[in-house]
Amino acid sequence: MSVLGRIFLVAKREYKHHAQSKGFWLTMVAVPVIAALAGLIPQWVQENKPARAFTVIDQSGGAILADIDATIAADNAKRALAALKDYAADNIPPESVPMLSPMAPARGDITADDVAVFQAWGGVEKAKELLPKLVREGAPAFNPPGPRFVRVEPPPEVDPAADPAAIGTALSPYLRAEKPIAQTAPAYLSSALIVPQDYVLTRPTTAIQYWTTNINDFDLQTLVERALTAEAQRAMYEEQGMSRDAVAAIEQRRVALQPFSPDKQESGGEVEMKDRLLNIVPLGLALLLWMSIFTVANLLLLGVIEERSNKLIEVLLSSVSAEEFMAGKLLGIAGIGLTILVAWLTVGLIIMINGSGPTVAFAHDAINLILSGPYIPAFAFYFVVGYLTIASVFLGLGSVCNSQQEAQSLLTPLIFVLMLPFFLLMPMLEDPNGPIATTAGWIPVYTPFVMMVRLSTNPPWTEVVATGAVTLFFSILVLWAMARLFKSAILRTGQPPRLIEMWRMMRRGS
Amino acid sequence: MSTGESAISFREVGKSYGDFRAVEGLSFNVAPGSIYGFLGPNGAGKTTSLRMMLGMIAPSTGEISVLGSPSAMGVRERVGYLPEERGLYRRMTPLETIVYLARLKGMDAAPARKKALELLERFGLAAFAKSRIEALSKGMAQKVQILATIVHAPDLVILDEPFSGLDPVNQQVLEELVEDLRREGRTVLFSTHVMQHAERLCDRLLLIARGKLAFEGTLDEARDRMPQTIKLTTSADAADLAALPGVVKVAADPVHAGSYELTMKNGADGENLLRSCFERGLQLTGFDMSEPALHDIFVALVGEGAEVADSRGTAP
Repeated sequence: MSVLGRIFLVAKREYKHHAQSKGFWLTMVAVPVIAALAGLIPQWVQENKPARAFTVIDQSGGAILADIDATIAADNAKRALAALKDYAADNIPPESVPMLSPMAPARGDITADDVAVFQAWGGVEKAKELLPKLVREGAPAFNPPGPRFVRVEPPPEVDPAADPAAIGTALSPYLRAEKPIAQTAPAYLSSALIVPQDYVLTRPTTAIQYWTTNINDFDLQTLVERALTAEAQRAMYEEQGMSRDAVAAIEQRRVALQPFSPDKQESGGEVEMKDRLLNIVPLGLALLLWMSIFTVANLLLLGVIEERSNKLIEVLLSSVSAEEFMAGKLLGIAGIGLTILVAWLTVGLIIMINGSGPTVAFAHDAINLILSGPYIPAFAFYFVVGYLTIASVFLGLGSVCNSQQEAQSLLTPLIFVLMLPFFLLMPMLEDPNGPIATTAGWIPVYTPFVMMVRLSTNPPWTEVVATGAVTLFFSILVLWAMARLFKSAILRTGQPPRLIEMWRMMRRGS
Repeated sequence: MSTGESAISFREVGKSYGDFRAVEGLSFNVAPGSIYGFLGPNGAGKTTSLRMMLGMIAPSTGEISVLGSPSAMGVRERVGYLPEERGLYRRMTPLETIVYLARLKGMDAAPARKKALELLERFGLAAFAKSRIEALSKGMAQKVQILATIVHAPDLVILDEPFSGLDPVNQQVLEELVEDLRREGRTVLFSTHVMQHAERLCDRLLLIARGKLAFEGTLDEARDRMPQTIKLTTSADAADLAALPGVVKVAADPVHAGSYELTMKNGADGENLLRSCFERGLQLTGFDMSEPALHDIFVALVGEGAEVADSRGTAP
C-alpha cells in the first residue's frame, strides 16, 4: 500500500469515528442555533417584557403628571408605529403602501415627529381600520405591542400630601410585591415617582424621587428623564420669548453627514446601511474560521491522548509511520472541520432566510458578497494555514501528554495567546488598516483571522500576499517541528517533558 | 546462520537516551519458521529492542535486518505486532478494528472483512463482531488484538508479553495459535518473563539483562551452562557431603532439617555421587537429580535482582 493510501485510511477512520459521535452532531447543530438564539432572545425578551405598573404622586400641581402621561402615550405610539412599519413591509403590497400615508411605511428609525404625526393621523385605531383592506391575502392580523408601562393610581391609604419619605415608606409593601396594587395585570407596583411640592421643572431645587426595588431597570427612569428634560428645555426657551412651535421646529433640525467611500465610487461613492452591515460578513467569517479550527484541533488533542494513554499507538505505528499517522489524523479532522463549517454556514443561512424581513435581505446580500469577493479562496487558504498551525501544535502537545489534565496545563497559556485576536476584533473593525490591525496581520498565528477581517477594506495586495507567504512558511515550519516532536514523544511514557526537553526532541527528531 | 537467511538479525545494536543505555551491543539471528523467545526481567530492554526491530525507534548503533529489509517498516505488510500494553478504539467494533488494522497492513477491504469474520468465528467472538469494544470483557478485547495481529497472515509475528492478562484457558488457546503459526511456516518472536511458556514453545531463546545479551541459544544449551544441582535428604552432615567427589558447594535447606542442595562441578556425574554415598555409608532418604527449570537458568544467567515471574500457579 502506498503512503497516500495509508494516510487516507487513517484519515477515513478519523473522519468516520468523529462523524458518528453525538458530540459532532451537537456541535454542528447547537452552535448556529445558540448563535441565533443569542441574537433573538434579547430581542424577544425586550419585546415581550410584561407591562410594569408605576404610580405618580405629583405634589407640585399635576403638570408633571400630565407630562409623564403624554410621555407614556408617545412611547406606546412609537412601539405601535415600529410594529406597524414591520408589519406593512412584510404584508402590504408596495402599490398599497401609500394608502397608509401620512405615516412613513418603510422600516427605519422613528423620530418624535413621526410619532406625533402618527398619533395625529389616528394611531393604532386608524391603522387597524385600514389594514384589512390593504394587506395581502392570508396575511396575519396586526397585533400592536402592549404598553411597556401602565400608570396606576396610588393606593388609597397613601396620603398624597405627606412628606415624600413617608410616602415612600407607605408604598414600601407595594414596591416589595408584598401587596398587589391592582386586581388585574400588572398587579404589582414596579416603581413610584414622587414630585415634591416645591418642584419647578425649569429651576428645580429638589429632585423628583424615583422609588423602586428594581434598581437596575432603567427603562422608565430613562424615558421620563429624557421627556422631562426636553419639556424643561422647551419651557426655558419659551421663557426666553420663543414660541413652542419655533422650539419644536428647532428640535426637529438634524445635521447629518453622508458617508462616502472610494470603494463605492462606481455607484457614486455613497455608503448605505447595507454596506456597513456587510462589513460584518468578513468578521463573521473570521470568527467562523477561529471557532471551527479550535473546535476540531481539540478533537485531535483528545484523540491522540486516547491513543497514547490506551497504548493503541504502538499497534498503529507498526503499520504506519509516525508522519503518515499524523498526516492522516490532520486530514481526517480537517474533513470534520470543513463539514462543521459547511453545516454552520448552511444552518445559519437557513435561519436567516427563514427569518423576518431585514434578515432575509441581509442573508442574500451576504451570500452575494461572499460569492463576488475574494472571500472563498481567502477563507480556504486561511483555513488551511490556520488549521495546519494550530492543529499540529495541539497534536504535538497531545503526543507528550497522558491525560487531558496534563494537556490543559500546557495548553492554557497557549490558548490565551491564541485568543488575542478576539480582543483585537473591535479595534480592527473600527480601523482595519490602522497600526493594530496592520501589525497583527504580520503575526503568523493571527494572520488568518486578522487578514480575513481586513479583506473587506481592500488592504494593499502586496501586503495580503506577503502576510500570506509568511504565515504559510510559518505553518509549514510548525508542522515540521510538531511532526518531529510527535515522532519523538508519542511512544514515551511517564511525565510530560519540560519545554527544554521538547525543544531537544524537535531538534533531534527521533 | 548468516544474516541473509534470518527472519530477524541484530548486529551490535544499541539504543541510548542521553547517558542512559537502554540496549547495548545486542546481536542475534532468528531463523525463519522458528519460535524465538525474547526473555528478560522488567526494564531489561526487551520492549526497546522490539520497537527498534519494528522501526518505531531508530537504533543509536548497529544494524537491524527484518525479513531482509533494513527496516521493518519496509516490510510492514509481512509483519504482525502485538504490543505489551494494548488498547483498542473503544467505540469501534471488533470487526471494524480487525478490518482497519488489516487494511493498514495492505489488505483490500473485502478479503480483510472475510478473514476477520473467519477469525472471529474461529475464536468464539462471532456473536460480538458488531458490538462496541467498550462492551467486551478484557479477555475478549485481548483476543481481538491478537486476531488483528495475524489477520493479514504475516510471515513474521512479534508478540510482546502475549500471555500477560490472559486467563489460563486463553493462555492455552494462544499457545496453540503460536504452534499453528509455526506449522504454517511463519516466524514467531515473543517476549515474556513467564518462563513456562518459553520452555514449552521456543526453539531458541535470548536472555537480555540490563540492556545486554545474557544468553542466546536453545534450552538444552542453556541447561548446559548451568552447573548440575542435586537435592539430598540425609542424616549426614554438611561436611560429609562436601567431601563427596564432584561437589563444589553444599547448601542446607533452612526450613527442612537434613535437606541439602549440592552444586556439582561441570561434567560431574550424579550417578557417581549416588554410588559414593552408598560406599561411604551415608543414609539417604531423598535424592533428586532433575534438570534445572528455565526459571532457575534465567535467575542464574540474569543474576541477582532480576524480577522473574515464577509462573507456577499462573501458567496452565
